[in-house]
Amino acid sequence: MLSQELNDRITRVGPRTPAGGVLRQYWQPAALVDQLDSTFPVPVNLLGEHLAIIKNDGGDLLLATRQTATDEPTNHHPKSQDITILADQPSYPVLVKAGIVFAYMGPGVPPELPNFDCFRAPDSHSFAFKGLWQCNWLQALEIGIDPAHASFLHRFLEDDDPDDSYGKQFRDKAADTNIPMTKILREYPRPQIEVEETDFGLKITALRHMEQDLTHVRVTNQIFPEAICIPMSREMTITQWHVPIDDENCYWFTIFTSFKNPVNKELMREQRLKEHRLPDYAPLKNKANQYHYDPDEQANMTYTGMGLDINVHDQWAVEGMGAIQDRTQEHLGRSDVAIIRYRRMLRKAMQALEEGRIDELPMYGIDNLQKIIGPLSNDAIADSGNWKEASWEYDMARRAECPWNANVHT
Amino acid sequence: MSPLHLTPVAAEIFDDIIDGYFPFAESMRQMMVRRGLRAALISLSQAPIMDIPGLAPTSPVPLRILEGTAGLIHAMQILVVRREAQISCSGTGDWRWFDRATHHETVFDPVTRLAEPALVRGIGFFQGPDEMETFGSVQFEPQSSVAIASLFKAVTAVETDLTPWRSAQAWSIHDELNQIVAFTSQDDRLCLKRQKSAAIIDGHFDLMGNCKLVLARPRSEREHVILEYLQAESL
Repeated sequence: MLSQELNDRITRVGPRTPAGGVLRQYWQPAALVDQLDSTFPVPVNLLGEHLAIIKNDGGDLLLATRQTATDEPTNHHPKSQDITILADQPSYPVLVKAGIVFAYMGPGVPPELPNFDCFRAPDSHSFAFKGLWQCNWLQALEIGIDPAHASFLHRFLEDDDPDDSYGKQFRDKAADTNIPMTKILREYPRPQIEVEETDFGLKITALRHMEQDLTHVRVTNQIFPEAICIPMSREMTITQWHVPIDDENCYWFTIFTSFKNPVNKELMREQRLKEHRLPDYAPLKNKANQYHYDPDEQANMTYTGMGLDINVHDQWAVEGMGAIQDRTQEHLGRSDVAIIRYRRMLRKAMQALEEGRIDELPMYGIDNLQKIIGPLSNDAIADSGNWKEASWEYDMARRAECPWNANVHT
Repeated sequence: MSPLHLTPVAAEIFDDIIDGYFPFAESMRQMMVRRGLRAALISLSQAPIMDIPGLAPTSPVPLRILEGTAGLIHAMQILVVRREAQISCSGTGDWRWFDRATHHETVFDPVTRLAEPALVRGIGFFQGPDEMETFGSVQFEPQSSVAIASLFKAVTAVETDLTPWRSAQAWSIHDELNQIVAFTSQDDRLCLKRQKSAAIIDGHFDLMGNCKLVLARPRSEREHVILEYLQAESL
């Protein structure tokens, strides 16, 4: 369990905070391209600052500071005509990539974006969305780097037809088998978790040892400072940032990347707009309505009784910890190994930044960020003695068949 | 006669997570038992610690902590030796307590509890029948990529052909003190014991002082990465 001081240090992200300083060294999702219609400015609340996307005289996008009332609610979305830009306050460069408007709020020249799959895929094979979670960014990230919880929080007592799994996490078959992922997670709930540091953050491998000397291998990734890259299905990955609005609210921003068929954006958008309201992308299932909890469903279908969308399960879990998780009463166990490794990276980065050693931050001190590619993120089932090679081979096979250039050979 | 006597021993280059909430030495002991190690050169960093007043070392940590002092180990490199149920930790650390008024020691108390599980990296020596001073009873293994060496005199100049190993990384181990001292300590009685990392490259190396050495050659990319971290985190 951490002291309040240590907990504040890793959670609070306003200007001039240690963790906020680290996050500001990296491009942060600010808005979806979907939010940019012809009406500017577009309000953005990010890292404790009240901002707006504007078009400057040259027609380029910029993130500028907007005027706010002192009692403005956290996620207030003023109408464009009500926004006043403060020209003498900070403004930040933006770039548009993969359906997301990214902003750089740090000092000096912005870094390049790494060459991850989500940034390499063409528009036809990419879809972006976002959603509001009313909790601190760190607990939102930490659920994404915990491979063990999926066997419980996202447990389905029955397995649906994987052919009806489009756009849905954990509803596909596992690797090249006919075994639904939901069955794997349900019947093998105690993964062995391996964590490695990488150029971009962490590679997290969850091994579920099965009968007949087989192992299910699920590879996910933590992309420093606050993103994850995880498999969604055999053909899609999710790259998801947990972006602070302020210390008590965050947006998840997700890029869905397809390695096979073009993304059915209409269906993906329709699925998600059924669950979120505009313009603030707040989820329709929330604490106020108990996440539509149904005890009959819990008795017969799902662990949580909160529907079939696993995003709602995660939302309930992280919002249930409170606005900022009280880690003074926390007890981490051995399955929290990725969380332990991540917090260590974050603390090391904060100290390095405070001491002026910026090159020690992940993805700094590298001469060419375009060399950072991938990452490998998939599910595979293999002989237990060969799981690492099998996971790699499965990734290479998918890339070889990918209609766009997903090659990772240098 | 060569000033360097080298003994390859059965060992592993590893990383692991030691449990939090136990006294530091107990967390180390559990890890050593789990891995079958007699001794280990260990590095850890960025590890939160806590001191709960009145809590006996053998008591479990309470579910709710109502008072205490928090701190952080910035970096620590120690030699851990296990003899039966006893653990000794010797080395150097850089740590701080957030309440400096009550906590400002220059020697790290091994009953201090980790406030979170902690990542450790190290070179571990498996238990065996061969007694080696400082390291306890280890297992001689001629083909091992890890060796314990004794340096009989100070080597202050680059010398050649001191070892059949053409390349390795090296750490010097001073006499087991059974203390972890602050690396800024100026206490002469402790004769400030620091572990200094070095390297053997093409048979050449440069080390000072009468000491024992741990030499290690990585056999995989993973081991190489771990040794690089051990070098980088040397105090």
